[in-house]
Amino acid sequence: MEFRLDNGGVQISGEFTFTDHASFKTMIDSLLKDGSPSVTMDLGQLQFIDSAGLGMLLLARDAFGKADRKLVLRAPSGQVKRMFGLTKFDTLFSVED
Amino acid sequence: MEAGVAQLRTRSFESPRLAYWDGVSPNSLSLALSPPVIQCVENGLEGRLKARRERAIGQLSLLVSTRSAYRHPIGRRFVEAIERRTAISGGLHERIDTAVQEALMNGLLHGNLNVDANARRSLESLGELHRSIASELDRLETARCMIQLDALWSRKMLYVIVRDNGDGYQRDQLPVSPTPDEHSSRSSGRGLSILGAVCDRVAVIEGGKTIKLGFRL
Repeated sequence: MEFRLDNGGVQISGEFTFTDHASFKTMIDSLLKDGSPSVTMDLGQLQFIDSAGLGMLLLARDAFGKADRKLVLRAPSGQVKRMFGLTKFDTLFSVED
Repeated sequence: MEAGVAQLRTRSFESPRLAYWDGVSPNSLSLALSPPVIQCVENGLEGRLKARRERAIGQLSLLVSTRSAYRHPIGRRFVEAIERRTAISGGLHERIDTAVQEALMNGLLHGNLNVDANARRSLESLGELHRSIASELDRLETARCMIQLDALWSRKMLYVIVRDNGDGYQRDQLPVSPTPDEHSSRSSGRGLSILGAVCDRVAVIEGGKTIKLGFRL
């Protein structure tokens, strides 16, 4: 997984699996330092996610929630979008096309 | 790469159907899995074969260490190797890829590395988990613990079998699939429900040490 912080949000690309947990935590820690009320995670370039990746998105959602901030997921596509559908993740997050 | 090719050719001289992987990179694994190879073993695990403790099943088999399976996209390369031997359509490719990744990571984490399902309870816990896994992978005994992938297929079905070296589990002891409401509070435990959704058949066997994934071709 690669990520790029961008105007209070982040773009994620590549594949997001369990072995990305350390870099994912680093990324979320950076975003938590920013004070904007809403953080957008752009998933348009993310090609693959597994159940561990989905679980980490939930952890991020909870961490932002504790800080009274909202996590918005944008533009999931392909396998990532289908995984969201399979696990009903699209009902647990604010997801923008 | 050249050294890897030379090593592969030398070591597979005795049998063109058996190859050894140097454990260095995904590219050298793809090379080692090239047809006509039907069994590929990571260097250092040859003893498992000689002792006949790990028997290849089916038309393609891969035996690797926990350390290498954690660090390299083993499942992806294995699925690509299957595709070089039998036709798989685009939509099916994605389902197989998703399922093999899930089963492999499940075997690694909860089988060979013995990671507790509650270890991913919060963002803070990920740091602790990272240190714990790094420490386990540094232990030779754990790092060399094997994980095996086998594939067998006919014109109608493809099966991928993932076998770990953990203690196993009883499927009926696992929590039931979470309801949509429960989903919102759980950061782990979705693996088997995803497998049920993307596979045509799933069987947990050998006391939870082996999972057999079936796909209609």
